[in-house]
Amino acid sequence: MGRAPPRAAQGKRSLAWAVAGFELRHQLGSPVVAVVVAISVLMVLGSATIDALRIGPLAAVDPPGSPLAVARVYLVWTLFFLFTSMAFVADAVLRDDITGFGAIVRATPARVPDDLLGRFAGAFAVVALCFMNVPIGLALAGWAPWIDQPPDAASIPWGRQAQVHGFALLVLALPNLLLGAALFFALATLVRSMGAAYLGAVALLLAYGLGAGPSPSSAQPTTSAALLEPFGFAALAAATQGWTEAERASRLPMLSGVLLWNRVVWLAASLALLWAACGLYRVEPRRRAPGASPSAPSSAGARPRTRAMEDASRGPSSVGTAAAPSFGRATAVAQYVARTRLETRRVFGTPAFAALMLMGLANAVASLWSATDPAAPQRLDDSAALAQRLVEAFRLAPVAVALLYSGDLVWAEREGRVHELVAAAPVPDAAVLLPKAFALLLVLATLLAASVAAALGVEWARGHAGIRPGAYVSAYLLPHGVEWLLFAVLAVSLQAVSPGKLAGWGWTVLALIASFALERMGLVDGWYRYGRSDSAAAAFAASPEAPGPLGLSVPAWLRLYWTAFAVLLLALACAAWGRGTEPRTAARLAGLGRRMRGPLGTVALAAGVAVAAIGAALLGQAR
Amino acid sequence: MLDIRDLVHVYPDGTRALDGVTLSAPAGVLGLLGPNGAGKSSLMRCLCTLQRPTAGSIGFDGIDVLAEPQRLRQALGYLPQDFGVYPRVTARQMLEHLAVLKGLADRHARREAVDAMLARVGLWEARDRTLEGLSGGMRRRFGVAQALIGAPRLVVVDEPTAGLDPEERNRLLDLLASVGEQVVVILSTHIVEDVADLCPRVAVLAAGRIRLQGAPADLVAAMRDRVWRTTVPHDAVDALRMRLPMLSTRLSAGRTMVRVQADVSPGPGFEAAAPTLEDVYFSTLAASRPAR
Repeated sequence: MGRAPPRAAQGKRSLAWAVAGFELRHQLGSPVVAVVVAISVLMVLGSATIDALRIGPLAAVDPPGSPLAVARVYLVWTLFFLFTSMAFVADAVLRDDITGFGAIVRATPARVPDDLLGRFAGAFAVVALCFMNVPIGLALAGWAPWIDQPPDAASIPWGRQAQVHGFALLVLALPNLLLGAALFFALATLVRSMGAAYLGAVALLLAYGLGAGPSPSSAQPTTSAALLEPFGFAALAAATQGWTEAERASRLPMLSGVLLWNRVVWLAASLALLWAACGLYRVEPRRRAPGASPSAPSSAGARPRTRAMEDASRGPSSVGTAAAPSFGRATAVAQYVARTRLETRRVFGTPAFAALMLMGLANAVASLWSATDPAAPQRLDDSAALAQRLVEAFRLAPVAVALLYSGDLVWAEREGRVHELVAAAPVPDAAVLLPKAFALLLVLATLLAASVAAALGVEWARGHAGIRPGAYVSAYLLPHGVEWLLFAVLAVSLQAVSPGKLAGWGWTVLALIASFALERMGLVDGWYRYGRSDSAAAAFAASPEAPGPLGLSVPAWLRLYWTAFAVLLLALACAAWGRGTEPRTAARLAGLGRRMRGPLGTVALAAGVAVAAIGAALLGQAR
Repeated sequence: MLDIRDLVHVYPDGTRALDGVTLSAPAGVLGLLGPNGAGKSSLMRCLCTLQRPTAGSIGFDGIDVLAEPQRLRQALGYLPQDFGVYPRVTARQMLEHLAVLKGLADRHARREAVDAMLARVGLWEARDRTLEGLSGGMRRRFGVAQALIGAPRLVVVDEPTAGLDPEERNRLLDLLASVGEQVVVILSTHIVEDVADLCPRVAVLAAGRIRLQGAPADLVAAMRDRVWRTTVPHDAVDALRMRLPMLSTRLSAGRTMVRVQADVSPGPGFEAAAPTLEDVYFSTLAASRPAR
């Protein structure tokens, strides 16, 4: 701030455009954009064509294929894109602090508004470009080979479709995206930390969801509510209030009245937020981590006088005598424990984990609370039924945690550039990757325990008489908890054989989509759907609970079968991951055979035999 | 103790980073000199089991490193040229973690060793600060601490003094010198002064090959009466370079001091100069370049 402009006004304008152009090119060159594009196209396509992926607020509100339904799809997707906006605009404003490049940029004579607004413009352009996946995904839905009826949007004539999509994009989506981007841009500028910005964004979205969230089915908003609800759901509902079924099936509202004023108010708010961001921006470099951690001991500064220290003060002899390493079983166990502890602490210490857990728990508690409302027409008061409800309400949190942290954990050393230190240490090959899987399993187990505790808390608060904790084990933890744990192992394994974190995430998302697609195609047998034991399905449908081999139920055998498979996956992943500086998957896989000659190979062989034996026994039982 | 034979490493893009490196090192500090891109870091990584060479062998104290990398790791302390830090982890926590990985399983002994090492590298006061909050020099000292913990018998340090102020640099070199009295220390650097100050043996690596090795004093003595110096105007340097095998030039007070290698005086205005290790280094590099 306070820096003199180097050139005339024309120069300042071109500087902002130049910054915007650089930002746009920089972000478009990032693999994150490619991943966002790929995933969002798949998600839009999936939500338009696969029932299992259909987004709640889209279902059964407006006639399928109607202009109003298309408009609402755009509105809902702007909510999904809020986190994309967050990632892109926060990166634009925080990149210099994170990379340590800030001092160089801030020492230039560029004015803060030119620099900052240029960055925002570039990042927002990327968000808007990514959002084009919504019309693209909806268009592709018309040609999806797995559907036998026209999708919602494809039944509208082309000319009318252009009009409808233009209205939805320009009037509804882009102002929403601008508002979200400006809000998160200001937030990131204020807090100057990616983690804090994400946490703030989650808090704001939770506040929005709890307060003025979209409730299209119960849409009778007052004028003030329609004006003040920022994303236009209420305004759209108000603008279409009193429409007949025929009107809802064919019309779009005019951009006038409350809808127009809602858009104007929130466009103005977006500009105000950008103006605030310029005011909030501080040229001073971000303060590094404080000097002392909260756990700084009271004896700080006092040098300890231990025998080892005295050795040290005598000089080189201490290198050989201070503490000699040993390499037995006890050391290996200590190494696994230390690695697992570090990895676990790393996940628990991130704001994103707290946010995901809180979001999941909030959603689960809200869902269970409404399901146990004494006034509800179909009130649930049985622990087993509530456990089923908990599955639906909470399942996103463990899947999201497994997806996110599999990548973060597996690639942490390489991203933090400490992989050479760890790889050069005398730890077993498996001790590089395996503790990451252990840590993720521990984190998920904590998450599941928290969700069960929350459900029991709801039952207790509602005064249920016959609370049965065991029902949560049999109806929630065993079928679904185990499935999510196994998913985490799959996610870690896929990361380990991928050339990078983003590719690993991509493979894992594809595995999830493939699972949905199999279900959609009617292929639901537990023995080929990874991790599934709840729907033993077709082959066993005659008596799914009938005892299988050795008196265990078929679902129990399926859990053993997939657990053995997961062990096999993990052993292969440990051998494939390798250690050292080689990033290429092919080169790492080249050493797989050599690394499989030790204990990893034995474990893999045992797991493979178990998979084959249990699978054969299950198939025999099915026939 | 360390015996490297015919080591070759070719990267997938065809770059021949190591082209038949043969090198041996007894206990003590061996200075490995070489310009950027000479193959020093590739050699360090092969030596530390972080990448498998295309061909050749590495032996250390009876260990076949390529066949038994884990045994070598049990004797190894490694400071890479560039390393990062885990976020939100203090110096003491991280050093303890690495100490476990290096085989210090006993909690009490480990804590003592970690505290002693932190004191030894001058990080005791900063032991409970997060690694992110340490200055560049302190972070480098942490790197040395983690390399030395666990009683290594082979210490490999890659550019350890890069970016350090003179005081930090002296402290670190003293530490390596004291360690080098017992174990094999490979000090890879392109800073000739570090090697001249510290190493009883030196090897020069250029374009993937060892071009010269020996004791610095012997190498310098071999150049006695073959180094000449003069001071010329800046615009005369290029003409001189065309005519004479120039070792180095240095600008001073608007004129250029030139050092030239020749068996007899190159001409009027030149005076004999006492050779330095830097002269040896530049002479070796010049000889390793293909003739134009």
